[in-house]
Amino acid sequence: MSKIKNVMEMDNAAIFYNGKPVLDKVCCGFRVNAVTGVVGASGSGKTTLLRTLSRLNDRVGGFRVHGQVRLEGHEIYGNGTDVYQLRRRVGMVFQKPVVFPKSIFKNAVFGLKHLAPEMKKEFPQAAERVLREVFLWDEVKDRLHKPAQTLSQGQQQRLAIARTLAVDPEIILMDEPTSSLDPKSSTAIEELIVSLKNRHTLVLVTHHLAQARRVCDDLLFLNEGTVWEQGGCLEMFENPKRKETHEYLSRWNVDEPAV
Amino acid sequence: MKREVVEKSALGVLAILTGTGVLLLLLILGSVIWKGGPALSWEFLFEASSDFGNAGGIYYQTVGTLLLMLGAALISMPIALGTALYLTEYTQSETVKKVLRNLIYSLNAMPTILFGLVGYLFFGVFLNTGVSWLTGMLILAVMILPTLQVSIQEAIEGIPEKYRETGMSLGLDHLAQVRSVIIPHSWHGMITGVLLGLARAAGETAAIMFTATTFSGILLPQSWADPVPTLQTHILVLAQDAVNSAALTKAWGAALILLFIVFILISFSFLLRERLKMEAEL
Repeated sequence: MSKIKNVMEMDNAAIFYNGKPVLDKVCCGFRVNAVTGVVGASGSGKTTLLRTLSRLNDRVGGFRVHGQVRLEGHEIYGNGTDVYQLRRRVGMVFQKPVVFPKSIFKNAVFGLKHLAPEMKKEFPQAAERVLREVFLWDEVKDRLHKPAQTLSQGQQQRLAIARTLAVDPEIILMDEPTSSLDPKSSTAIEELIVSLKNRHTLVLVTHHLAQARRVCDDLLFLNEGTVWEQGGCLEMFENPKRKETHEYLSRWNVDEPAV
Repeated sequence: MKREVVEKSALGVLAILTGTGVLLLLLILGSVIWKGGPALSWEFLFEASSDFGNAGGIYYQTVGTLLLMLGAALISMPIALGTALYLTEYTQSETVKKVLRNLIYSLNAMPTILFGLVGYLFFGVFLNTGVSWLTGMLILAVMILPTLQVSIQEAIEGIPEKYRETGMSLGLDHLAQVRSVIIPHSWHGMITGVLLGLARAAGETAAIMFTATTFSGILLPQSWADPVPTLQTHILVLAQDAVNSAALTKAWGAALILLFIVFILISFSFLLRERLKMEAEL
């Protein structure tokens, strides 16, 4: 793995739900302007890890974090952390596309409306910029004020990404963003992920090993609630250090949906 | 074979029970319409009552009832919304949630005469609001509070978690989350709660009889401190004291109008709930 600094790190972190450990002794880092894939079997703690990075589990009763989770060197679970500012800096795209029952335009600027209400006059330009960034502008420019629910699932997911981009996060966490999409939409999202890393750091949880191989720079293999291996993506696919990693990643070209 | 007989018998019993309920309801509705129908006229609806209810109409009583209900809704709505938001969005403690929830359900089951008594002692005597529109509004507001609060709380709890999490993930603080995610997605609960609460308040007599209203000699209140005429008291007094059949017909006519108001409120509540719920879930 390259020596470029990590924008976000977990240092000996352990996550508990009602006293039960879900993740343990997690040490990992996420390089700036890189796409880090998080892979592992269902129940290995991938989503928990992702949600921990933006403190989305805070509302969950019995959730506890031990160890350190740092953003640019600052502990995010420490006293004095502005959790709202943290979530703005570390955006999240969910597994299933979530659009509010509002127009496409209002969805695109939903976060901006609250975080920068003084920029109201610039919202149209901001909406156009983020919709272009997710390659959706040409498809929706003539129906910006139509309900967002009229878009296809793939378009809705791109709109959700645009809405996240509008608040300008440094890190974007993606939790299986293509799992509910058809192959064509999945390809569009994959291209988008690659294009976004110029300006953002991305962490992608995925079950599609071929997808991870195509878009990720680094890879993190989770197993039984802990990190078993982390490294450069191709290096881990070609030359994994552990037998378990090899067994898991060797299935990358099996049962892959045709794209 | 035996099982089939048991099932058919059970179905028959259920049908008889349902039929009895529906029949009773139709009988009540039918008798109110039958006896009150002849009283209905333009004058009855839009004229003031006179001669202790023996003559004239129920204009001021209808407007008074609506004023009382509107005031109660305006007072209880922010309290119910605040309580529901506190319980769903701010309180982490399950014990606090449980205690408050039990308290609210208990309040809902309290006999309405108690609301009248305690309300009169607290508002009318202790706060010195007397027999007035204000006392009536406050008592009815407390009375419809549980219905409204439960309805709003259920609507808030029914908001898909995905909307909350999306708001959170964009960095929205609590207030922004409430303003942009919670309230727009729970409108239907609020509207339903208000209308159902008002429908309950509209039928209420005991709680306002000695606290907000007098039977005769009043028009519309000129200030918060004036008593307000209501249909409920009008019906009660006429039904108890009227000696001639014309006055009794007027009492039935007033009952028909009150029933109509309740019917409209309930119909609107169901209609709006379905419509707003569909919009919120789209």
